[in-house]
Amino acid sequence: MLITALLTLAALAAPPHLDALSARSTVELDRAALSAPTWQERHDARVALAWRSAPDEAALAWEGQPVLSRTMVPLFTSPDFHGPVAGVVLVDRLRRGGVPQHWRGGLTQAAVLAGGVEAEAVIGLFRDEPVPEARAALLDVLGKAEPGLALAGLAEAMEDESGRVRATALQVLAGRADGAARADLVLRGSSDSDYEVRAAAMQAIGWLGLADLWDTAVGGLSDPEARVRMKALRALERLDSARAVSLTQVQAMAQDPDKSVASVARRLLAR
Amino acid sequence: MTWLLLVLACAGEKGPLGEDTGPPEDGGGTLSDGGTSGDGGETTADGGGTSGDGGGTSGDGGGTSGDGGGTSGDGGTSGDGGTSGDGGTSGLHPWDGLEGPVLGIPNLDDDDEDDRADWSQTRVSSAEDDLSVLTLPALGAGEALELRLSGDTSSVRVWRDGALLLDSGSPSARIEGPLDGLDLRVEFSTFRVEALLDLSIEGVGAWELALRSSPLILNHHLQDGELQNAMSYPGAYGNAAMLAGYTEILGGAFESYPAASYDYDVWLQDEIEYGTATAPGLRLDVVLDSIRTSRGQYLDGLVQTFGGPGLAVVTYGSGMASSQDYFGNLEISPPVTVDGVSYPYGRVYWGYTRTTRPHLDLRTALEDQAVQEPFELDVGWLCVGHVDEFMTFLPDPDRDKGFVLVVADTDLGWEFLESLDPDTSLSKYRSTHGYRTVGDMQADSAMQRENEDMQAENIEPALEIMIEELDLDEADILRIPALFEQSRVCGAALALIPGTANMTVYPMGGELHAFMPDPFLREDGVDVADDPFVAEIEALLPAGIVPHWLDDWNTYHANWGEVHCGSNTMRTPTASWWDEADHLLGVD
Repeated sequence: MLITALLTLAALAAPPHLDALSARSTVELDRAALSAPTWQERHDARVALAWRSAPDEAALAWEGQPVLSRTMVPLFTSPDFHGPVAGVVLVDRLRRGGVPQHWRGGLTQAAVLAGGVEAEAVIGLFRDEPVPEARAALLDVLGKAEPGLALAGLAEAMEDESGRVRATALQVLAGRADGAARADLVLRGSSDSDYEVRAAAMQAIGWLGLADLWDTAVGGLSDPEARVRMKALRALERLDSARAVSLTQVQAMAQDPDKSVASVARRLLAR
Repeated sequence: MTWLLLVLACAGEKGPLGEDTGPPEDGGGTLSDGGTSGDGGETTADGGGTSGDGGGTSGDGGGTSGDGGGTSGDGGTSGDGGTSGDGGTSGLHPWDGLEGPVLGIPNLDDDDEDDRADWSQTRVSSAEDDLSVLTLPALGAGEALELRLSGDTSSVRVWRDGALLLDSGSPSARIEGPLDGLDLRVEFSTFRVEALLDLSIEGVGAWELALRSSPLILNHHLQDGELQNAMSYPGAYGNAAMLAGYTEILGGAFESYPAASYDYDVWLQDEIEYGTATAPGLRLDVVLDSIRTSRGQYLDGLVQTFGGPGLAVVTYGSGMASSQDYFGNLEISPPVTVDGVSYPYGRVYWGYTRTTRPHLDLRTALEDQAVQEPFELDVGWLCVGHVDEFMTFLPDPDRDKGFVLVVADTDLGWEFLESLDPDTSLSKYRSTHGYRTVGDMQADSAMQRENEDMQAENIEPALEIMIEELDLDEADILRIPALFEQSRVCGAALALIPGTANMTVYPMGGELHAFMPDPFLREDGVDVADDPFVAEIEALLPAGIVPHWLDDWNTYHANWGEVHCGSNTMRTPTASWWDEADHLLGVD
């Protein structure tokens, strides 16, 4: 019994990197959580507060194991990883917890969903993050962040070595009401070496109504990748469907070798 | 139809002594002396024997009924041929009534439960019940029956009294008379075996029998369920509610296995697909085992326990699997007629992506079965990439075709979402998808556009292919509201509202049960029956469907699957392929 109790206490103890913060008062930590100069300091204070206020929840989030998704991707979807306490602890885990690389995408997603990633932290976490899926998951936070922070972050993400991350940056940009302000990123993406990025650029042209990039979208119609052709076709349809139908390239796409592209083209032409 | 393959030796029309015999129905000679009543069915010979002493196919041993032998399953029922037509008082020699083909099933189960497929053994165990019986008429004194096996001899064995008589290593044999009839047992190694057995009796005649084994026929949703199964995942966040839902309705027809014993792998739909092989009087249930897991890891460990009497485990392909190799990505339509071609057991379909398809060995094997000609859909837009994520088939006796194709429709999904009270709080969506309220979802214009794109770019083109490949029209389609979201972790789409189309369909004794994922589009504490999404779907379902809403959220939905992905269904075979599928099997 005693051993069990000791083990439980040990399990609920905050990790050693929080020892210094644990000595500080709750008032001091509250203040730091709100107004410390760097996001790292603010986050550290929140983590310490989380362990102080809800050690059980914090311990579960700190030590919890993933489950396998349907495609064998480790995910942290248990309710143990929900809520604000879990959110800040999961971010702490990403920063200092020795998380295996193949867990990081799922863990990052859980941290974002739990509200543990503040917009100011995204860039810092992004720069330190080794796994593309995790970097892509972080970008979701920028979808609703204030414009300056978000657009700067997405521009940095467009420099990422991973096509997945660059494509995600354009998808997030396309979903922002102010995304058209960075049409330059869309234009750059349209000639990316990665087809997913080119497809995301075509989608962004349509979603953001970038009429100035009409010719860029027309160029996408002859992309070797079907997904890019599809997104280009849809972009033109969104921009001006009557004008799109008049294009010989669009008319030819009714016989596109890709069945889905041909199907969409036929439906557009039939309107 | 009857597969009459008898070739008279007298082939053509010549008797053993060179006389015209005429076609069988003409009599072609008479039973000389001993012919007895021949009212069909089985041999009753007591003297047997035939001699070639003239007169076409006459025999002098008599005592055989007019229809000669027959083929049957181990149960001993006669095959579908075997009557000479005139009562046996005159006409054919008893051997002339010998009809084929010999129909069978692969002997891939494990009747003696020694953990080896029965075909792999060099003996026939006393428990064996998967061999076809070929009953031959009596053989007279001084007569000798010559047998020769040809065609796919490596996949057929013929046994006599428990001893191997014919196989690829010894394709010929001779049996000396007299014998009071003879039961040979024919064993097949796999599906769709085509071989020939030539029989001849010097001076009497020669006959050729086709030996055919059943194709592998995968089950579709119009077949009655016999067994539903799933993994049990205990704990506060486990799937006890889903299992309880199945048990309540299906009782003893539902089984669960402990996920803890199999590395907490719960995706039973992805691991296996059930099918059957049949022949008159014979049935083999088949577990098609995905290459998703292997070497006893994860659910492969469970599947390794499945083999036994009447149940065979079969795998096509090997090596590293993609998600397209999982069997949530392998589905079967109900029976259809396409361009005048009847597919009485439906058609197989699977999904592909830009870079992957199901393993070539699997595709080839399914194509080779011929009776459920496969086609494919683009599933590259989905994170998991399985055809079961956005469409399924429901029985609907009120419709001409007897079924309806259920398809996720995100335009309807958005329309439905907009009809809801924006202040409705959604606790489950908050933690899993980041939406606190219905209003949060309604305000997500990016999600709205993603769904518009999915409908236009992915679902409609897939539906067009379904319509074309299955010869459907709009009246055969039931569009149901659905919403997906773009996952940053996988870079493609996942169900946002638990995917209704990702359901289990279970006809049982005239009741048509549909087990669907609880959508939880309601506030905490509100009963599922009062969920507006549930009401919306139930109003759309065919009248005969009995809906059941199962909580699959924590174990399945949050981890990229739903009810269908987490369970599986063994069904009653309906296939009489020897009667219904000649045109697909290339049999004249």
